[in-house]
Amino acid sequence: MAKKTFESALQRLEAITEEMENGELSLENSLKIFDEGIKLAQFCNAQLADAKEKIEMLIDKGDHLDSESYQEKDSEHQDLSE
Amino acid sequence: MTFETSSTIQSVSQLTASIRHLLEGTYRFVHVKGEISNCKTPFSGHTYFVLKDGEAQIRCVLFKTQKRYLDKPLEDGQEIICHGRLSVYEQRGEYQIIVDTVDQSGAGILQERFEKLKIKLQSEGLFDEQRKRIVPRYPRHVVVITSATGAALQDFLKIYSFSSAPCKISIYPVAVQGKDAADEIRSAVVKTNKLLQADLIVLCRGGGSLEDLWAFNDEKLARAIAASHIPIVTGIGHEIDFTIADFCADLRCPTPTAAASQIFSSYSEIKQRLTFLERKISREMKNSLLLATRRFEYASKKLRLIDSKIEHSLLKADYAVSQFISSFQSRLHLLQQRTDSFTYKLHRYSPQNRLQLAVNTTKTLQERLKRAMMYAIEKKQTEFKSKAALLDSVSPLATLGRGYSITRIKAGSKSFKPITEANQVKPDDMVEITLHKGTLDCRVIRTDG
Repeated sequence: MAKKTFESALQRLEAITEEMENGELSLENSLKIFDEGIKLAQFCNAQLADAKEKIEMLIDKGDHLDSESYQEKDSEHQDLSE
Repeated sequence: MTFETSSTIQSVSQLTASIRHLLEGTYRFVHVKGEISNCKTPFSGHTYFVLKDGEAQIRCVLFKTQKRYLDKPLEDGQEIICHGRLSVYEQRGEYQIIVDTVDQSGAGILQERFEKLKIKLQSEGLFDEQRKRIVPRYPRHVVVITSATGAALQDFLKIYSFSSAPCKISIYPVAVQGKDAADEIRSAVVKTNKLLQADLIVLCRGGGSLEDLWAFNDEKLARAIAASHIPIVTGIGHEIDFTIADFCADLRCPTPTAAASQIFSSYSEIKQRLTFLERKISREMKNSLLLATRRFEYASKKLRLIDSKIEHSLLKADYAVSQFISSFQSRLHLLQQRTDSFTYKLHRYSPQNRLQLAVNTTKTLQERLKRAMMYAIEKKQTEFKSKAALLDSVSPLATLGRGYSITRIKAGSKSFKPITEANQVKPDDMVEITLHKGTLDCRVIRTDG
């Protein structure tokens, strides 16, 4: 299987739900994909739980990019013309 | 500054008045071609705008009373020719054209360039929907290419923070206005593709005039956007602003705020969705198990029913078989008995004994017959021998042997009459003469006697 991304995991979970709704699966297969579905849901939830704000500012060094953490400026310093 | 004297030093007003005199004297009436920009009509009803070309700009004012001569309202981007006079506004030290009449026939240069480039790139297929990449619904790393100090970035980040999306944001600071802006933005797109593992690029900028947004109408930038491997979303200017970059992007949003909302919208519903999906499959699983249990129970109940039926049938079959066997056996016994008695009777009345008796009688009779026959034959043989000896002594055969013969005439079909006298025959009669050996057939030639 290709690298599991949030999106692919969610897609698979949606597909599993649909399949189970159809109710045409054998009990054995139901159990199998149910197990997979629960694992996918856990995976997705874990990814969401990781949702700390992560903002960085890139610094162009010509042939590579550095980054530093971004400090939000006070609103009165904003240049509103742009 | 030793040469400064009181006679050469002027006040601001004096110098300004002098400039005004000079300018208004030299440029009594001017005809200027340029493009309208920053066009504003405040409450007074007068229209203020900047007339510009690629290099310079000049302030203009069109008074309310002169507006009735206009073909259409003045707008940013219009290429016009202004007829008017130059005037210095002393209070602010600015000069401006007081416009009398406006020639609106020429289209704005920038607008024209924009349209030309749009048609060119469109015909090359850069705007084709089927070429465009799919914008990920759940991006994990977004690179925002914009001004680090612009309101656009703040608008974007506000929405991002609010969405609490599990997504990393990298700000790629660039100039979004001015002559280097297009190159900086293009370089940022190229480098992001080359150096970063992002899954989405956002190009954004706040609203502005056509000139302000001009960097986003650059042809090279357009090609870089089209060539990007990472999907690109734009949020440039206001709702009404369209740039070439917008047309090339995989998704165009009207503003930076709208871009952020669009990008992170999927995350805002995803928690509920996940909970929903999890509950749904759990419920389905439970139902499936329940259903299976019911089916199992029903089946085993049925099976038990069948079991008892089978047992019953087996018993019946057993009984039937034993019944059958015993009745068969008794019948067999009866048959056996009957057969035995028949056999006994058959023995008693068998023809064998009488047959044997007959055979014996036949044998005895046969013997007696044989013996009688032998006796009779012997008796006849003795008789025959004595008679033959007698016969031999009287037989003519011995006489014939001495040369005598017997002459006979045919007296019927088979009988012959011996001829003893010549008158017994006439000439031409056929006679048979028997010799000692053989016979002769003779014709009578003559009779004598």
